[in-house]
Amino acid sequence: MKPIEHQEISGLIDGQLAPADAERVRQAIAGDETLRAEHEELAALDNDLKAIAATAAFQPHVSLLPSPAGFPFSTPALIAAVLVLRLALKTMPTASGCVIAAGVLALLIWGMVRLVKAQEREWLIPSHSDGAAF
Amino acid sequence: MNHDTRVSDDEFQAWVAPLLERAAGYAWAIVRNREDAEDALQEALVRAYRALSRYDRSRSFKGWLFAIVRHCCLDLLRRRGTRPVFVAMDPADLSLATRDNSPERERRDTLQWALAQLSPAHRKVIELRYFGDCSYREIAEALGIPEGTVMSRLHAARQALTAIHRKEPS
Repeated sequence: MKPIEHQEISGLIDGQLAPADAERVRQAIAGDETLRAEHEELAALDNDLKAIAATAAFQPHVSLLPSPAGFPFSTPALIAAVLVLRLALKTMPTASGCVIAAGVLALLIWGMVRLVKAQEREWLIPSHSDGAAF
Repeated sequence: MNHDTRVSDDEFQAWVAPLLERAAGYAWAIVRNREDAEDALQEALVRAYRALSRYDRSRSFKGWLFAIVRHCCLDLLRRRGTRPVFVAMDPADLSLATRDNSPERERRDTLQWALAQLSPAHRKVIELRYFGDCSYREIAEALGIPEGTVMSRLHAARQALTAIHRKEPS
């Protein structure tokens, strides 16, 4: 039988060995008092470390995905702006009509900018500290 | 790298959700503070989400994510001007309502002290194996080392812990 390497005892404890290798290591441990003592010591250490790590784990308050953000009425506002613009140009081809058209056009541009920004999703991050990284 | 299949939001959420508690514990093991651990983890999730197009599906997602978590924890410590040192645990941080003086409890306290004495290379594998609950493959992915090296390094780390534990200060 192929002799075992000591690190394989760790592999056995972690359940990371192939079945055939695990069996070979188990047999070697069963037939050798020194290996058995080493295995027991490492297994006890493994249990203690697992207990410590289990106490450290906790359910964090984090956001898993970005949430849609931005102006929620972008689309209706844009449609309304286009309609008003057309109406203003049709019914009031005067100076006042141009002023209204310019105002509506500015509103239209502003709405489009907001719409583009809305496509960029933002993270709602519950930060405890500075949050400067974001 | 695999660019063929994009990871959907649902997939990302389904992969991350079951890892959260351990990822938080792993982050805590590095930064030693729950609030900082949450901040580092959140930053890691943002980075991971943004880097999804670079994620190779043939690799372990957990290993990939935990590597990012580690980087974010180290970045956070760097910003704070703190070194990543494994210090003794704060019982309040661990939500331990009472302190008992059982031999088992004392042994674990001593073990925490021993963890602080480990070399960085040994501490990395111990943190991923226990606090991150990672397999050898996941540790290998996270640290960029072969699986065989993970086994030998973990074994060496355990032997070092045992040796330190034996000569612990009273």
